[in-house]
Amino acid sequence: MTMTIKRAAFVFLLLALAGMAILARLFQLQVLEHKNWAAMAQAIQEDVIEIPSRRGTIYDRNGIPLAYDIPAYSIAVDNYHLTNPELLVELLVRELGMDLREAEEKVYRTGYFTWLARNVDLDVAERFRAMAKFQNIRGLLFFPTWKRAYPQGTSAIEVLGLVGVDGDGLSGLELLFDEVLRGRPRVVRILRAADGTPYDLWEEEPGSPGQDLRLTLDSRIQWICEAELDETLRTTPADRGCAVVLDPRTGEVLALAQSPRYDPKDPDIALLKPWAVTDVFEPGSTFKGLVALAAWDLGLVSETETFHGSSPRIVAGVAIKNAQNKSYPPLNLRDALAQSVNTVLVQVAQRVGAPKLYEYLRRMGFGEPTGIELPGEVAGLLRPPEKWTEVDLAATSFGQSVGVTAIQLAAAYAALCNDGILLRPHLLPGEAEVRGRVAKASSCLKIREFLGYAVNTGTGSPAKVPGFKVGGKSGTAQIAIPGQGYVPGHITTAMAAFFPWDSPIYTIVVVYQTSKTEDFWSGTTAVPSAGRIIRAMAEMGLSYPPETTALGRSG
Amino acid sequence: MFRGEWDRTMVLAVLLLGMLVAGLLFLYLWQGTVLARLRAERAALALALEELSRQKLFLEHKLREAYSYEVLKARAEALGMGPVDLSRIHYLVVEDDDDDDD
Repeated sequence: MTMTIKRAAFVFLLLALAGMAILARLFQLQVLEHKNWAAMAQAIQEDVIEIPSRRGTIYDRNGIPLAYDIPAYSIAVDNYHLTNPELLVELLVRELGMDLREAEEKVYRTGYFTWLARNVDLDVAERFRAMAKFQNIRGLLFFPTWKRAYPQGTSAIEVLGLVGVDGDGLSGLELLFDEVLRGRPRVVRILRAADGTPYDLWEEEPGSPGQDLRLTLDSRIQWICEAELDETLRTTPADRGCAVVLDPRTGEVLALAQSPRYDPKDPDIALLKPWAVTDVFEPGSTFKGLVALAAWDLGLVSETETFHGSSPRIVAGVAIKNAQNKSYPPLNLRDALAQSVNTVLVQVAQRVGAPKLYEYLRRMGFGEPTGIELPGEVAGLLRPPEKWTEVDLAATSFGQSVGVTAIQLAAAYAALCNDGILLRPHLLPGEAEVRGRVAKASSCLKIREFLGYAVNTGTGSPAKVPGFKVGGKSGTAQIAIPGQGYVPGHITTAMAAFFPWDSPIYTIVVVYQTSKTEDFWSGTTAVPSAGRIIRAMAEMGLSYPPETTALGRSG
Repeated sequence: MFRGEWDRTMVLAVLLLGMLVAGLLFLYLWQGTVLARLRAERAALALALEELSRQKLFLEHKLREAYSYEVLKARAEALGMGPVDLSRIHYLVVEDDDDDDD
């Protein structure tokens, strides 16, 4: 009996000890090491996913999207858990077009995390995932992300700018309005089962998408300008070209185009700058219209007065020549503008004088940035009048010894079209911002009439579009290379046009540059380009002839 | 006798109470399971919806690309359309009848 009790007590003791050991272990797990084990369980069962927010869309004035985010995937690999690496290398080369050496370097690296490809198109990534699953490749990680897309191709790419792989604006409007366009990411917590099946999901941080941006650009006019620039670069020795179209009544930029453009397949960072606002050139004879405006506004010239048109004209010992050294019989200002006679405009500028001409040019916005919403805009080159020599004054009359940007030239001509009111050219819609009055409305109308005549009968006639009352002034100027001066074969051609000249609704500036030949003239490049742009705008139904034509009446 | 009946009633009451507790417990566990399943379904559907909305955006982009100016131009040219060729336009000069009468 005693023996039985002893045995029972022994068993009870053993069981009690085992129970205490279990209790002690439970105490250790549940109390002492609770935090560690809870964190480990959470790490296994819960996933915190940060879903990047969609960047704002950039629209043109008609609501056509120019740049927006599309879904994509970034693909990474956990090299320690990777299976079938040789198949993955093959897949990377075949599906993602990766170089074999690069693929091998990424796949055979030692590490828990290696990016294989960032921002892969959704369809490509899904095909890649399906094939990886089929080939039993494990250890791949797919992160949903966004990728910037441009549905109109490279149209206006230098204005819109680029976005980096991490969603940061790198250039253009994407850089300038990065804070507006970018949103806050959404944070979601997912509870998963051991096999990865989601059990529950809740939003920890709602996030917010980026704000959209609407521009004043008209994608149709932008496309017309780009197509025209591309075609002219294809058929002439021009190295590059740019075109600006403004609504002179509001200062809205309707197109800001250039060619060649940045190509994502063959990236050249230099092409990302919109050179219509970042680069200066000598405007050549396009400046004559503005010099004539200053003289007319001051009442220093009349419609009937004639000037000597002989060439050369000696100014401070320097011979100033007309194009091809051609001499003209005495002619009035209208004919001098139509024939683009340098020696007449020199006389006109001499009457105005350096201080007054400088004052007018400053009022027209030269020598300072226009304030357009693009990074990298330059002020141009306009020296103070006390530094001008007599030759400088003479050269300024036909657009040399000054440096302007295409947007400055367009803004100044827009002021001429807007009855003398200079507006800030802008890419974001809003109230017109007046920068000042350039000249009297009556003076502007008279000079526009003269420039309408120049297109109708003079050097601007290749820009003539019957019925559209196009006015404008062409210009050809040599390019001065820093340290070398004017180098033969480096030429800028330009055309500043508007229509209809009596009440303009469009101002167009087209500029080409070459470094290949001396035989490069505005009459065969910029002037006809401006005409073709106007014609294409009419064909697309964007503008109509201001006068009823004979055909219109009979119809 | 009285005490025996009381005991039986007590046992019955305890049994009934036990059954009720067991029933409620079963109901609780069963509904908990249903709830967990519904939560899992909701989570899966939310993720699927996210994926579908991404698919939709991608397809919309493909559609926009297919109707871009550049693509439309290429299609129009393939169909034989092109810009106006001014050299192919001929103007007819119509004589004014009044002048003839004069």
